[in-house]
Amino acid sequence: MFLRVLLFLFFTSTVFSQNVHVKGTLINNNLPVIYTTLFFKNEQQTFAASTNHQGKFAITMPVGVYNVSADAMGLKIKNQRITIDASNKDNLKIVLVEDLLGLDEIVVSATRNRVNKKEAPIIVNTLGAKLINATQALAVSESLNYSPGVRVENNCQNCGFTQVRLNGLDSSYSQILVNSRAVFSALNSVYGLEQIPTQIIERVEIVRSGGSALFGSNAIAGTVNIITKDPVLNTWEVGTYLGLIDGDIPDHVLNFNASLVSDDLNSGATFFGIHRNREEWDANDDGFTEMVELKNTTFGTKLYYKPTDRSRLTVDATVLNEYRRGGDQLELSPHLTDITEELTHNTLMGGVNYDLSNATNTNNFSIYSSVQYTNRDSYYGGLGGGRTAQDSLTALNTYGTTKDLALANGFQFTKQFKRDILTTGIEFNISTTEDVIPGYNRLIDQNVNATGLYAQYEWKPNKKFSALIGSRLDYINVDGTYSVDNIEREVDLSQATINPRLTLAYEIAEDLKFRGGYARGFRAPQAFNEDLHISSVGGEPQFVILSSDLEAEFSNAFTGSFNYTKTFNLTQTNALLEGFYTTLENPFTLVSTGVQFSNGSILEEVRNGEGARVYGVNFEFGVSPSKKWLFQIGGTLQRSEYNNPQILFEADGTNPLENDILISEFVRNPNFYGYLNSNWTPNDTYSISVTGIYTGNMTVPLVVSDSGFLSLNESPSFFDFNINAEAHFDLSEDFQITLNTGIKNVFNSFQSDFDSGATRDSDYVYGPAFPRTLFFGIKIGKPH
Amino acid sequence: MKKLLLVWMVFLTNFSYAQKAEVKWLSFPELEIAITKNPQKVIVNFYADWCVFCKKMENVVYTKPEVVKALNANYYAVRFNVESQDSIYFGGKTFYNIEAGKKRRAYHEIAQLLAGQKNKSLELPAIVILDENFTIKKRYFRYISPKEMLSILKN
Repeated sequence: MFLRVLLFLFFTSTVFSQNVHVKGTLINNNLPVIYTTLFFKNEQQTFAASTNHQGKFAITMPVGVYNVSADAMGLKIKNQRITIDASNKDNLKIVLVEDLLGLDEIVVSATRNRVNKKEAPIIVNTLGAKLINATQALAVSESLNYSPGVRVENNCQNCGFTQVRLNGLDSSYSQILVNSRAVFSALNSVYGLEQIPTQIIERVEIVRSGGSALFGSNAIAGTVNIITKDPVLNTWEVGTYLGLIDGDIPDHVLNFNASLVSDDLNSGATFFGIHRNREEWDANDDGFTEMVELKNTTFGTKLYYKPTDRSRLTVDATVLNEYRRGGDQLELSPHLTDITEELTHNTLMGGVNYDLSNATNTNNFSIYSSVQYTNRDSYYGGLGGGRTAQDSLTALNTYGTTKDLALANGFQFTKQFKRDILTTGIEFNISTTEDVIPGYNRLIDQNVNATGLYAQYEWKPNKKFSALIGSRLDYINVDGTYSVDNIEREVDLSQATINPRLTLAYEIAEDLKFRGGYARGFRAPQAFNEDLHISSVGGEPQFVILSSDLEAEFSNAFTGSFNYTKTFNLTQTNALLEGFYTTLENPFTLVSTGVQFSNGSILEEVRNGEGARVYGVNFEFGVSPSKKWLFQIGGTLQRSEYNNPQILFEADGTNPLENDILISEFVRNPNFYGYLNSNWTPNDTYSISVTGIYTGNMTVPLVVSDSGFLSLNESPSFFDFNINAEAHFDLSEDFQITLNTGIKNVFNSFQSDFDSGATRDSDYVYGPAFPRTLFFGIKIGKPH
Repeated sequence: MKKLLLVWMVFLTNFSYAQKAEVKWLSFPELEIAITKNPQKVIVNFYADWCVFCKKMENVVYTKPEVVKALNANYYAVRFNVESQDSIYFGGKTFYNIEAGKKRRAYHEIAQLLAGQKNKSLELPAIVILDENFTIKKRYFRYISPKEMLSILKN
């Protein structure tokens, strides 16, 4: 007979003569108590038995009177006397009586390995180190596509700036956090995502809903939270990567990281550095770059110290130096070329975080302060195809400087009740941006002070239902001066708003969970990241300025989802179906007003556009039959519509062939996009990943005349397919080598109709970030 | 040249003498024999390959000379990979990994028995201290620093 019953741990029972087989059940609150050791003591001996998964136990021992005690976790059990005889030996019931005082028996602390089970009311999609590795992502932005509802878009041939869209809404509707703190400023979110090296990232958590009061007032589309590694072991790693873009343009990366952690885990530090050098690439041989030259050196550290068991001080600092240049004739000084965008960023980011909790770990306090300062030298301009003295003079005057300071300070208090959690806090964010290009009389001088007060209650009345009920009170003060040439705009505004947030989760069945949420969002008129970016059209820069009577924008976001997760033996499956519906009132919309300046520059105005709604469905299916195989597919079907036709280009009436251009749907926004991700790891040495991103067709505006008139072009669809093969060798416990090679964009699915020449529209960029690229990588060290 | 050779030899000799004392890890069958012959306190360290805190303990706690000394002097020490698929004969019973092939993280019966917690999945590292009668005295489900380990072993 196969005994499922385990148990027995005693060697003292040498007296076999009077032994009987005793069977029974251990009960607490009418429920069986599983995997618990019972001790039966009499004057001479102690017998131990353990209960199985049904709370049943069996033991062989003599009849008689025993003192019974049990070792049930988290409960100390009162001793009780029990008589075992022939009448009850086959069905002994032992009822536990809790000793409420003796709780210190089992010590549990944060250094245990937690079981990763997401019971949170909000759906969190996680991109782990494995996926980042599989896609050979050099920057976080490259790996974000592998989550439903997320699309990374490339916006400029001259400077290579990218932005992340969540559910089709542009990046100003989402929040990028590093270790749950908002440290990205207006300027840095343009380039910041490209500047965080992937090697220091533990995982990226993506939340596609604004249903938490902890997120900023604008973050109704969701948040991207980059969690950096927390070291435990002493490790080091040095790696290098070589990519050959389109078969021959080198993209080289050298990086290292090392961690030291004390034996008592009370202090530790991680150091990391990365250097990337990518040469420019010209796709259509017109002498102008499609992919910019890029040189980036980053060095940083993150340290922690635990003064006591219940407190922790974390300090991090990163310095970053980046140079990028696009346009033509990169070997010449910028003002001697037709078009150049040259940017040198010197950024310093740092933060201090102090966490403290009480003895029972029910009250947690967190206080933090982080700062980010960027000094940027820029050049946006060039001769623009002309060779007159005036052209040269203008070209010489378009060197600019930007100073950008962002401070984020906050205090958060979390109280854990028996089941419920209360989170409340206050945050002060200050952002100061000064962007000056004397040649164009261009100035952005903006101060934004934002204070947010939030409270959120996680209510779990029973096992199946939970709700996050919260609200935030935001007070924002914007003081800005914006000018280009002879146009000057001012914003001086103080506004307080209340933004309620709600999320509900209900467990329909053990494997099926429903979640629903509502978030109200708000954006004050101010220059966001893309407004700081300057593109070039017709050989002249194209500027963005806020319109004079810009009002705050409000939004309402609803989400609802079904999530099914089931494990059959070794097979893990999950399915997610999520609907979203977002309405925007007075959305900030870019409208081209055509040529407004004597030099031929086009001006785009940020105006309050027509009301819009963005709605659709995100889906994800995943199957992993065993540790060796993983298949995942996901995507988004959506519409982004204006309630009334929205003006995109305003004709000045001088050319009878050029009328106003009106659109009914968002441009640059496909109605269908998705991804696939699969991995085969036959053994500890080898691993192969196949990943792909599908981008459906979309409408992309292209400037077609000197006046700035647009043509609305329909882009083709793209399938960006990647293969990566990896081999891992343990030369010794302390020295390991990982080699990998593969191809990005195997089918070379890439934009083929770039605008060309000095007068091109540099914003006419869409589709995958890289053409077919061959890559090789090597990593050595002691990674774990 | 001779001098060099001498230095080399000295170095070699030093090297071999400098070999560190190690914890004498026992398997469960070895433990059974040991405690039947000569009852002594027992420490069982449960680990898994994926557990980084377990690895840290292996690297910095069980290598500390004082810890090694205290362990070897007064304890039988057992190290057990909770994902082991071996069947283990111990205390008159055979224990299996009945979860093998059914779960991604398949834990051995003997680990469930000694380190299992009510309504909770196994937490690692798990350190179980038993007295001379093989009665559980204390269990820890977390990382233990070398200093704390010494004080635990001395009590």
